[in-house]
Amino acid sequence: MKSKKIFKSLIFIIGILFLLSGCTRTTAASSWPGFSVSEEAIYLSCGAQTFALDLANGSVLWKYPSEVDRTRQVYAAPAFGEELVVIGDFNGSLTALDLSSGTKKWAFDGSSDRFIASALIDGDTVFATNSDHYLYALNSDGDFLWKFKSEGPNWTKPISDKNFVYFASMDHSFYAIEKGISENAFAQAEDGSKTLISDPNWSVDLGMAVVADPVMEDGIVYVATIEGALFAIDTNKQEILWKFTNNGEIGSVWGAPVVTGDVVFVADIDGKIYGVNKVEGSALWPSSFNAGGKVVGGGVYIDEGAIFANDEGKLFILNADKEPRTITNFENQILSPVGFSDEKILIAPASEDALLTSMDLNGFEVWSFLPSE
Amino acid sequence: MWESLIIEPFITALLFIYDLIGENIGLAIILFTVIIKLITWPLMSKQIKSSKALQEMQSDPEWIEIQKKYKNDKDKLAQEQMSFYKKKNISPFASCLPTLIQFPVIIGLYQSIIQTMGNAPLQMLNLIPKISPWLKDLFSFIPGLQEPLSLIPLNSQFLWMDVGRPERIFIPGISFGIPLLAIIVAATSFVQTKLIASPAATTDKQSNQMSGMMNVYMPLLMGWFAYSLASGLALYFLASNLFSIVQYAILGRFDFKNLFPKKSKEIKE
Repeated sequence: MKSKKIFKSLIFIIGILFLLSGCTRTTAASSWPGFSVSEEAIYLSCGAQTFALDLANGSVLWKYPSEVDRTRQVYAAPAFGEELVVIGDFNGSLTALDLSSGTKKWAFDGSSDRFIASALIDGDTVFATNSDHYLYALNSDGDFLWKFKSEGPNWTKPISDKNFVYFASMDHSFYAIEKGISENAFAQAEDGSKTLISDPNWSVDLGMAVVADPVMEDGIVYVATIEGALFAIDTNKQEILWKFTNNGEIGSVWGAPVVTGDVVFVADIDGKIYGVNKVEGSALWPSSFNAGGKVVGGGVYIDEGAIFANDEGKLFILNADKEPRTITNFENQILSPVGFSDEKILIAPASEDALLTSMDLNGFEVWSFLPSE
Repeated sequence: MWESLIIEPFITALLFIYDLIGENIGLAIILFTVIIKLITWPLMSKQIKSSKALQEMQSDPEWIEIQKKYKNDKDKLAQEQMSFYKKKNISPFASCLPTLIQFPVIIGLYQSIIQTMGNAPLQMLNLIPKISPWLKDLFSFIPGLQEPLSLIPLNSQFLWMDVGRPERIFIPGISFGIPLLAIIVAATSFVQTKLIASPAATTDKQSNQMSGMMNVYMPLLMGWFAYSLASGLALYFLASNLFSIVQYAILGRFDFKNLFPKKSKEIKE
């Protein structure tokens, strides 16, 4: 009788859990794989683990942590320097690993929210934006140097030049902060230490939140918003050069713009790609290019044109004359940015067969990688 | 279909309220829950009345007599039960049909709250296409309202909590956070389930067992969800529970005896 009662109770609980689990999406993956490519290796983060893969054959050079840790979620592309690989996770930890062995060198746990974007290793300084509204600066030993607070969560990778570090925030602003700021300029942080930069050196209002990484070339920053506006910001004049919306036609932009000699390519989640004159900020084509599916991740530029992938698995090259060439069609969704190194295209399809695939420019697979667990 | 019929209108309404009341997501969730509860009031009232009729039937001397008479003949008892329902004008399905109709609404509300918070890339990516261009026109009707996309990211702070994260309150001197909201959700769920449950023991041992299990497990489950999921959902649970308790009171079903019943007497054969 007692066992029957327990059985009924169990059935009841399982039923309730089954019904409610259908309503919650918090247990599902909350982002997509992020990777960065050097001349020899690929650093890939995809949920519980980060991998270093040999660019030539996809073999695992190291993985961190060595065993799968289900409590850990890391999706931001790892940043790499000469000796370090830095990874930020959804638990609010920024971890530095030895570039060659993957052993942990230090961890920074001073943030209170998720690291969504990649960090930036700039000489001896590591810059990382966090959803807790801060930009953190650490030295290469992991010691906290200073932080700057924006008005909203930060999901974009910082960029830098000789004197400034820049980032775009979801608070609608693009910020510039001097790297060599004097200690006198620091304000008191919550813990009483003089480590807070209260004001940026300069900023511009973009009018909407930014989730796409900005790109800098020759002192000009190209950054696009979730409303579908592409801006060119002159960092020397500290002002907006031009704003391109194609008469309000551009949709929400999630991927970093692709900047080439004369053209900026920008793709939106409505599946449209726009070619923009880099100097004037005007449309290159009378109408946009239809990608046939949402373009979420940024593209990459090669001699032939810009390579993009859409969420229906189509991988293609588009040149400045709006002439496309399909490389291949996957059956799986692609949300991560496209990578390119050593004449190989790298993509992370949402597939059960491969987490990362390397292929040549004709779409022939060179290797694919799937973690054993 | 599900997205366009349920999720998108719910997200639109939630964003609209959020904008209207000055970008307070906690209040927006509470108000939105109340509005949905008001819309589904007639269904809920019908359910409460039907369940009341079924409960009263359990203490009806005529029904007790029938149960005694046919206790060894289950087929005959079932036949007599149907006749009894007909005679007393009771529809046993009337108590569960409204629940079935409300269920998609509850699930939709639940999903829209999660999606509207958009505190991870995949959630945000799903949220943005749901803020469709026609929504801009809707918002432009009311002066002072912002363009919907400019509301992103939503201000997730409400009182001491971040509605996108599980709630904990930190008290000086205590090293860990106390899940106050989860405790309140569990308590209000307990009150609500006790109000739904039959005050007196029925003659049906099985339903008594089930009712007992429900009274214990449901509040614990709701408390667990409020403890582990985003506090915006816990706010929804709390607003929903409190509304239901008030609804029970208005419909004359609020009885403290249900909360603290005396030990039930066995029905003598």
